[in-house]
Amino acid sequence: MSDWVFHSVLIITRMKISIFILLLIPLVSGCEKILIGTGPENTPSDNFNILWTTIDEKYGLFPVSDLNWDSLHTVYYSQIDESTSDEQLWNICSGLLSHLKNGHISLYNKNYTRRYCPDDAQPDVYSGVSIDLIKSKYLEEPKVSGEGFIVYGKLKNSGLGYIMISSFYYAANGRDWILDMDQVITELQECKGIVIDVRNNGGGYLRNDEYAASLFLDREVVYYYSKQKTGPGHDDFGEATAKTIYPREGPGFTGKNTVLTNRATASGGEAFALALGNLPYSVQIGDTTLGAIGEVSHVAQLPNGWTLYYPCTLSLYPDGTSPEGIGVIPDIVINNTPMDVTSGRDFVIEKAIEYLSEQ
Amino acid sequence: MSFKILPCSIFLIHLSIISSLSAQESIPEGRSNSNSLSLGFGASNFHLLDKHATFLIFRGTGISPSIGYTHNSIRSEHSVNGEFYYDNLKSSSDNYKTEIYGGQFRYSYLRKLRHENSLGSTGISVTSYYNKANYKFDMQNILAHAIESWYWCHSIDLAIKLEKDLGKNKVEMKLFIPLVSNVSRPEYSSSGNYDYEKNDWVTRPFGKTVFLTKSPGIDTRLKYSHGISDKIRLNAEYEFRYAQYKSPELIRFYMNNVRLGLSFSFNNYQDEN
Repeated sequence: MSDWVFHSVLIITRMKISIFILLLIPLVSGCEKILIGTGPENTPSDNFNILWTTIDEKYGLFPVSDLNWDSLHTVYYSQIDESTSDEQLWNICSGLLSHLKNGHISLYNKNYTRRYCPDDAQPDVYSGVSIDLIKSKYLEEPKVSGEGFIVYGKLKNSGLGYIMISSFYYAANGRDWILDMDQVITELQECKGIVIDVRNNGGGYLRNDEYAASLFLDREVVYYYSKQKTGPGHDDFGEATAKTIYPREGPGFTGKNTVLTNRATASGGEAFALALGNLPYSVQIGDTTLGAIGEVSHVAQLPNGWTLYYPCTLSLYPDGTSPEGIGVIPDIVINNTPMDVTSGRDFVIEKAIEYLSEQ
Repeated sequence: MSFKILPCSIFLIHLSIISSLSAQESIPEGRSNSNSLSLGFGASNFHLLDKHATFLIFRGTGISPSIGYTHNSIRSEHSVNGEFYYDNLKSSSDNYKTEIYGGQFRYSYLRKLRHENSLGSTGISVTSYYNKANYKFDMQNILAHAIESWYWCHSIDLAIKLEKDLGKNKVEMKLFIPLVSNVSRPEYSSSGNYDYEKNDWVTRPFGKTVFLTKSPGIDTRLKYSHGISDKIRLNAEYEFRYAQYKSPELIRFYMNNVRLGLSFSFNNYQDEN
């Protein structure tokens, strides 16, 4: 046996070096198709199929919807042929995504100038909150902090504090603005209660909303459970992981508070409301939140340059139900119309002041 | 079970080659031993399909430095090598860009068989190869993060070297095939390895241990060297590496690296045997 092997090696060593070089030439010349395969083409059908397959294999919220995703492929793919224009493809893809009814899905065109979201809050919802009205009518000395994301002050004639956090995103200058909340809380330490306003807060970094929530906690809070996808099947999920927030050492406010929400409170804004909803001294006032809580950390790329954002986790309450697509329901339901704001009234803030004053 | 038969067979055959070479008397004794240090720098060309991140194929070029140390004795060669690369990759759409960087460290042990001016060697190597791809997209002139993905493979390889001495010049070919690999890849869910505190993906250095058939790959090098003096050689090296792994999602990639460099011999001495 070993003799046979030995002589084989000898034969190889006698071969001309040029043969080795010839063997390597196909590798040098680049055999991408053989070695890697062919990637998708920039055709209407390939673009559509990548969009559909990405959602099919990676989307985390099929267990809380009753969609027949396969049949939707049949319906929408039949509208596509090689002459389908970009505009037509955009409408077909938007139509497909509309069935998911999720505020965490976004499709952007190549130049990032056009966006489709299947469940955006309506413009009227945003118009039901006016920071100018709040500053001028309700706050004694309004202050701005956190790179403009935080507006705060004392509410007139009430002994209450007010903090509006308009977003949990990163600042354009990259500064860790959420740390400014320490100073804000310190300044409002003497207040009888605090109104925390996350209306129109579309979320951002989970870290930021957890940090903000931790300032108001007197106990450890499991505010939801998250399941990760583990495979392409719609029900391929791992074990649920508890999302926990801990009280912070240092500045904090554990007196009574209200959290103001509306239909434009989304993602991290909703997570913030969920976290404080676990506290007996916190009450949520306003409208139900958007219902898009799962983490969005995946961005899929289509051959034509379009970009798709989508949630890849499943968020659950401890009882196994999910706030996805439903939202976080307030304890006291009240809302503003744009007309209310125009006429100088914010009924949601007024309700919060009334509630905290009575406690 | 069948997956284990092939690499085991290869390994056993390989052991028999090493043992048979050890038993041969064809290597003349009294030849000098040598140590050498080599440095190289060149261009890298990378082709990547990683379905964890995207269905699109990315390709591009970059740089690839290298460093190595080799100890040659009469019957064996020990070498330690480090190679690094950084490539900018593009896909079919120009608003997607990916940078990939990484490198590998390898220790290899080869037993020699001499026949006239040609030398065949075979042995094993231990390799740790790493690459990390950072996928970005153009968001109105800001390059935003899409996802990060990596392939980290620690392997025990079959190593073969064929060498031809042409006087001042020398040509050699090396081939490495991983027999057993421990491969780390991201979890299926893109948020599975995401650290929300750091707002970044966290790479895990170790993953599943698999045999050849589940982690097929090859790393081959063709090197031409020219002796400038007794102690210095000029090297030109071409490297081709291919790897594939399917869990949790398919990754296939290959690299063509071309390097020029110098090697310096030192502490040469006569073997007593």
